[in-house]
Amino acid sequence: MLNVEHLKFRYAKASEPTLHDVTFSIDKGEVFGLLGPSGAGKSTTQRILMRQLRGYDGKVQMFGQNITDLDRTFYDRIGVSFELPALYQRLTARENLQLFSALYSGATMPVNECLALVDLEEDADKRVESFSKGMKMRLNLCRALLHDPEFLFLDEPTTGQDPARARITRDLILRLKAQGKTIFLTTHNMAEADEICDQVAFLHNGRIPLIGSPADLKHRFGKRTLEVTTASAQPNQIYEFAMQDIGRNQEFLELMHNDDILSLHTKEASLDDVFIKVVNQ
Amino acid sequence: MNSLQKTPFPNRIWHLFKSDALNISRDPILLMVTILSVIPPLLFARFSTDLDQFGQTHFSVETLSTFLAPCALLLPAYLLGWVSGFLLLEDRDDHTLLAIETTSFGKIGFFSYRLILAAMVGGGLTWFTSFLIFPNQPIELTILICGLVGAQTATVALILLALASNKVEGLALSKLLNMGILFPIIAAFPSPWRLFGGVFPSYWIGEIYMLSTATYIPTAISIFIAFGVHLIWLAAMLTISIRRYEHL
Repeated sequence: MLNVEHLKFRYAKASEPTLHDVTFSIDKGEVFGLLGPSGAGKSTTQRILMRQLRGYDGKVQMFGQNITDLDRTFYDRIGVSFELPALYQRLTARENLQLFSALYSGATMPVNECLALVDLEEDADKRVESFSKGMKMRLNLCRALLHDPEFLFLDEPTTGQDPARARITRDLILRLKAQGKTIFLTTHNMAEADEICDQVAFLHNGRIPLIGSPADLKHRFGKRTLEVTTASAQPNQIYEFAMQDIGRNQEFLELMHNDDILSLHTKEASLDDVFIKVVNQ
Repeated sequence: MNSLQKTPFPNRIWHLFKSDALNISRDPILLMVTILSVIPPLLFARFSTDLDQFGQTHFSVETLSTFLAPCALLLPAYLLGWVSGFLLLEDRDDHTLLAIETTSFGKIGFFSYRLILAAMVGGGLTWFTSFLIFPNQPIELTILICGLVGAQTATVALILLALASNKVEGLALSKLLNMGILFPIIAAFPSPWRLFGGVFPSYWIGEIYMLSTATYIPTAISIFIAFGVHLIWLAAMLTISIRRYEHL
């Protein structure tokens, strides 16, 4: 679906390139997370993929063609939700979507159906200027889905949303994936990337030093141990066991008969840990 | 997501126009300026005799209204151009232009729609006001003047977008820009030096209406040059606007 090879980019007047040598690919129906600290080059990468920046070196193919060979109907096949709400403040949610529907040459979804996807039907006739940031972000996402695109660019889609709303948004992303949509997610929220991405790439200083599935990366950067916390002493006692042959570890087996067990945790790294290690390397 | 519907192109443009109309109607300043743009030519037509008397009494100028008539025709262009330019600046400030660029219509399509709409409203309004201000003017000249005022409306909008970084700068710049309303008066000076005023698009309406008895260029050529100058300004401002957008 998307194939990026040896992508390099330098802004005019910049002394250093923003992207040095970026290579990755995304299959159809995959959720791909591009993670990295601020200034790493995430937005630049996204802008190149969305054909907003030219003058790059390397190969970028989308839908089986070089993106430079695609005409403007390319934008009927992609949907973009920006990090900042890009909406008409004085118009209502419905009027905003009607306006953006008019900007696509292809078919679009009925506005009510689209608003229902992000649970904004009841707010359809309220002006956007009265919306909270979370509501604006949901409408932003809604706008990106309006023309039922095959490929979605989502930049921090849950920003400004409370945990319950963020859960609804993440569920929607997973539903879109189940429908076969391909999703390119840029986020600082490692827990979110861990939950919804099939593959994540860490972008740092214009390079991708690490790429893989969240589960794989967490195992690679974590310890293969199990942590057991019991309430048999004050303060709570913590035991750590190597996962190797744990089923034959007498101390562990005896502990498993203990009624005071409070928790059992495998000690794989979180994506936060992986992120910090990548950034500090 | 099975119930996708395709909207025919004329309906799409109608939706855009409706959205712009709603957007303007909900901002008191934009609404006021849009409504006010109709008033100056009407007032001018109503009080032109009084204006002539005033000119005669205070400045010994017999037909003051003749010198000010091209300015009265241009006023709606500056006001409507400001509204259109301000909406475009708002699109850039509020990132909606960024979102528009990721649609098949694109920013060039959207700029074109906004500028054509501004030109049509400015030119359309001139169609009515020129009959009030110049009731005996040949219809061919009226059509050409409508085209020029329309082009002037789009030029004002694009100058704002090209030269202002944001809405606040746009407001400040519009004050400077409004001096252009007086540029047709340069054409009243009986000297070939006045033709240097021709670098400004608004000058040419004064030249076409022959505000001075000393003429250096035939009217037909003046009209031709006037359209050329407007097109050069439009192209230059569009190029700067697009470059500015790409560096956001």
